[in-house]
Amino acid sequence: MQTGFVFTSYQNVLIQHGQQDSTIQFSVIAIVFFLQLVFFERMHKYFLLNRFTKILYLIYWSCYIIVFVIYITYVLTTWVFPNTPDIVLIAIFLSVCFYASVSRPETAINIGVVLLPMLILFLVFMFLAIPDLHATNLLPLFHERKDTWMMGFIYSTYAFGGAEMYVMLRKYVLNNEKINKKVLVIYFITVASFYLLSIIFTLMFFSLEEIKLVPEPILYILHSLEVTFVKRLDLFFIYIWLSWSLVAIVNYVLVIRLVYFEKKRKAPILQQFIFYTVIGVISTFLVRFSVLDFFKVYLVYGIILFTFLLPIIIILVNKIRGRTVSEKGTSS
Amino acid sequence: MFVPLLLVGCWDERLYKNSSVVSLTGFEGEMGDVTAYYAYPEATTTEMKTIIIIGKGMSPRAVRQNAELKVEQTLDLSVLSAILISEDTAKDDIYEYLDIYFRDAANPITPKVAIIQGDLKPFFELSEQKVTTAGEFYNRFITSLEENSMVIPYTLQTAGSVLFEQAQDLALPYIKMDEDKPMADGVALFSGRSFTGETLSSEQGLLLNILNESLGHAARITYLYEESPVSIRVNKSKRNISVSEDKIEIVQKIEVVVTEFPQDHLKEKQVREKLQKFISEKIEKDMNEVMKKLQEAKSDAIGLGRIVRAYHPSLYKKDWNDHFSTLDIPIKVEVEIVKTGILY
Repeated sequence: MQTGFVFTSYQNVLIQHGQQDSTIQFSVIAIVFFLQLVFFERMHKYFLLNRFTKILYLIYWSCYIIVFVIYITYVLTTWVFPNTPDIVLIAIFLSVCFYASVSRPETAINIGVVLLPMLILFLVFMFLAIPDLHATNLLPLFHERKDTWMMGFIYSTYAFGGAEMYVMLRKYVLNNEKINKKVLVIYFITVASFYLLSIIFTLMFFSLEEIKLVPEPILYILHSLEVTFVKRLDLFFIYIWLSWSLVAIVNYVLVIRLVYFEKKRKAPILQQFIFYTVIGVISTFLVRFSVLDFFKVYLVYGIILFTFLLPIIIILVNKIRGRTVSEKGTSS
Repeated sequence: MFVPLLLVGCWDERLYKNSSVVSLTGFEGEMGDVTAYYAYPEATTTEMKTIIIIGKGMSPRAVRQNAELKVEQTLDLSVLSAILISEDTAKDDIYEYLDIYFRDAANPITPKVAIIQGDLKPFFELSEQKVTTAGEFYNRFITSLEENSMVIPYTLQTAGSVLFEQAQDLALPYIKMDEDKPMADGVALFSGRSFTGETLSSEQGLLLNILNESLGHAARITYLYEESPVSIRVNKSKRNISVSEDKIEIVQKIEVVVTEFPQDHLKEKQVREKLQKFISEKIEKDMNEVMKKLQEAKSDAIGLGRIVRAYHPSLYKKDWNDHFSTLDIPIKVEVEIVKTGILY
């Protein structure tokens, strides 16, 4: 869920504000994220959504998916299919998502596992750029900070959007069992390193002035590599990224399904079809640069609220009231 | 999941048979009155020949539109291998001419770039007689210069990146026409985004590569030593830089292999040390001349600014080009002969 949407672009906004300090800013936020994961693991039994918070999350996730689809379409039409109509891309993309969503829930989860080897392939491609990297670009740290330096911390949270799913899905994964801390640490290190590496590569590859002009730095790095076995490495990665993004959307819809229907229906086909149609129609009208630019700046506040703050508030309120999941069974 | 892959067969299908696949392009003139050349191969039943199309217009994009009027198929730059830029044009902001290559994802950003002395036309006409594609010829030509450490290796992307870097300047291959054949004439020095008009010779280009730590497969230098030749190949080089307020001291340690020395007897320590001293002094003198030229041209082609900015940020100035030209930058060279071939 965390590797799809923002991975190709968040480096741009983060480095524009944090400059060389972006690596430190990201590391600080990554540690906050880890502490939150530990908090979620300890307190997940207190995470209960009432009608109001449920509606808030459903609206947020729906908007998130719409932005997701708009961005994917924009990237595809810019990098791969400049002449293909947006509506065709959206229809095909969402049809595949719909198929995965009406299948068994395990299907959606397992597709992500199948894609893991792709991650290694991607890293191998990225390492081909090493001869063009400048280590001196990472320094100096904490020197001549911009007025908007603090925004670097804010935009670092982009990488951890979707982390609320941990506490949402926790009760369905292991009932009354603790997840080993070692597993949490491995997960945290993997996700944080993956994102940190992308920031380091972007900083070392581009000059600061140049980063401002490149909205998708990772794609651009791959675009600039010349290999003998394929003409455009960026296309290769876009298809990998497209698959990750698809899995992320399917997982979001799965959670929406679990929260909205509270497991009362096995596979609500018609409702999901309507949902995807609405998402598709809205996205078709919004695929434009100005809309994306708006969300690129402001969506992060939604992430801070719904991923970091609201789950903590909900847990604390329920803890004070003494309400736990076990009292309500496994429904939220 | 892979259904979108099939879409390339619909709206975005691009077949080579329907395109004029340009491998070499170049431009001259100034913004508002640009002339561009496009070279693409055309195969007949008996031979493959190179077609040259000339376009005129107010900008690189307009020029391409103009050139499209003269071809029966769409110009396709997806396999572009080299870009040649006239030296007069390069004296403008060069990025203005390159923007279209970076902006379109279908364009490759790995072609080689070179600055051309004089008119571009003869360089394109020459490619008409080549068996390989025109772009491939110039790409191999420049790659060969890079492998021989005559020029700093740059692609369109890495060159473009340096154009946006305040702490380093560009140095591109400088090519001239010599008896109807292209010949490398050294390195064109840039200051900011413009060609300064100053060039380094090919020999100085090699020393620039040593200073920049961007040596190719071979870096050979020849001197006359006691009226007899001595040739060396640079095996390894390492620079140590110390920075103070108005001074940057460079100590360049170079390990060399002797590849030509008819006087022989390098086994004798005295002979070897004397030769090492001679080569060190020669290279040191030449390198200091290179640095003087760089400073006169306000062109920090070896990226000293990157080091000052990273490790001594308080000494780094925003107008780095001007500041660089005022610094005292002595270079000290220490050469060590590490191999002598199969003879002493």
